[in-house]
Amino acid sequence: MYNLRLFLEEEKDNIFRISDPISLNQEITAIQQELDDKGDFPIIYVEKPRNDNGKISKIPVVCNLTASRDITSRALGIKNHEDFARIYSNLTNEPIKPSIISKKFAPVQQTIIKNSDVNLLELPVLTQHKLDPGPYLTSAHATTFDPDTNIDNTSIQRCWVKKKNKMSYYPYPASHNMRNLKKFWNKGEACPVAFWIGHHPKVLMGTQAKLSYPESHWSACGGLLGEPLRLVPSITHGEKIMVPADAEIVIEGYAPVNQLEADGPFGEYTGYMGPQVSSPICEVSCITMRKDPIYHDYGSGHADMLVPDNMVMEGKIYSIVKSVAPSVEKVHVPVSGRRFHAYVQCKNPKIGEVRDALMATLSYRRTKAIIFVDEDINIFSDSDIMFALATRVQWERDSITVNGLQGSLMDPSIVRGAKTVQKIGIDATLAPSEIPNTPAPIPPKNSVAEDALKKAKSLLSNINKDNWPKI
Amino acid sequence: MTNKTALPNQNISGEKKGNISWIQCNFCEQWFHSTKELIEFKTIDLYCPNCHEEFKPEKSKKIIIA
Repeated sequence: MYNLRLFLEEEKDNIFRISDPISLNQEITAIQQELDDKGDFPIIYVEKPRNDNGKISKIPVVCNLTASRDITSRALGIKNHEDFARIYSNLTNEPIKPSIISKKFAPVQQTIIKNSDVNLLELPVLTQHKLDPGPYLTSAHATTFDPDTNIDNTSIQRCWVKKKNKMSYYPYPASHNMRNLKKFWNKGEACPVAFWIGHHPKVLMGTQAKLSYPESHWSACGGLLGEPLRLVPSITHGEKIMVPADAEIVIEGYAPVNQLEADGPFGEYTGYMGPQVSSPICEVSCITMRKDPIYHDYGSGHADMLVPDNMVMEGKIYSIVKSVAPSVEKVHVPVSGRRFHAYVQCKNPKIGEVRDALMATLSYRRTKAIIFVDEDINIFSDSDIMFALATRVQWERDSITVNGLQGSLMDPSIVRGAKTVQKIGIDATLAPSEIPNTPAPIPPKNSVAEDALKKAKSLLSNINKDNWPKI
Repeated sequence: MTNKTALPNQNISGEKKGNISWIQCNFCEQWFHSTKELIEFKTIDLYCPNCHEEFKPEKSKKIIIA
């Protein structure tokens, strides 16, 4: 059955294992930053994480779990990361309902810590960036439910661990978890919530599927697993909130009515420190875990978090676009654009098709700029995208800008006081042929003969190029 | 010249129109691209980069002018 440790075993050759003690305060994140800068994305396994008091946690930390597109694709059984959008879209559209198992068979409830014994400070929680005010859970999947329908929702939420039994957490204002919280609060009731940490990437990526409201994520996880996700009733909330039975750690509690506290600044996916905001708090009633849990951390603003999140966005964009533009082949949401840019590759689009697709994708809340290109452009190369923009676009004719759309308010460029964003869609495809069976009125690309290229590759293959100028 | 097609120079907003003209060689039937100005220069022979023949524009098999 699928769980985090099975995945670590599958990828054991791609793990950078650190056996020396290392601080939870920025030192692990600094390693991620260095690796990101060098373009290396191994899984990082910290055997002896050390807290600010010098104490070594018994719980190891794993991060960079899904920082690699290759590893993340492999985790989902996808051979080539370039095909991720299409396959993810198809799999999450074939949901499989979860199964419910007895507590005695749920590994995540092997250890149960309740009430005054609860101590969040025992968990090896990272303080990632130097302006973060304290340790944050970054891979906590918050599960709540809609009190009108009892349908659950799950989303990753950052949580600032403030005390033994208290943390603030930040559901984004437009999020489904925030809707659920407001519904409870409007009735004068505390919002039940459970945060679970650590699972196989199939499950982690399934919970990030972009669904309607209210719609449970468990079936989307099943679609990726190819079998029902095993759930177990939480200790505090029973069947009202189920949690994945094969997770590593669960934190259960309530968000008391209208209790808001300052939260942040926090190093965000944008690459900037998000400002301090008002956030609900969670009063923790119970922590459950495996007998030998592994703590999972997502490096916020690093490939670790951007890659899986962006790949899920690729699946969503593919679903949106394919319905209006059958010529769409691949989608890439590049780390270089944080979550704001999307590149879409088309094969022989019909006249008007790209603009139809542009209109459709502009409605997707997360994107800010969408660039459509032809199949000869490698959408996994920013350099290729720049080539297409440089040589295939007349800005006024080929771009659509729209003001007043929903988007990320964390974008530092937003107009002061604005609650919406400006988006752009760019058609960077080449003009099509206008007469059947004749060349399109565009120049051919420079190229060399296949044989010559083969010879060049052979000539260069055995030469040490380390000292050659790189720029 | 009956083998010549001039693409319409219309400007419909949003529709992409290329700006390169093409010539089909009457000898090897391969296409190569050129400027409209060269094609219309009449006194200058065109040169097929595939079969290396030189010929006057009116001797082309087809011409598409953008």
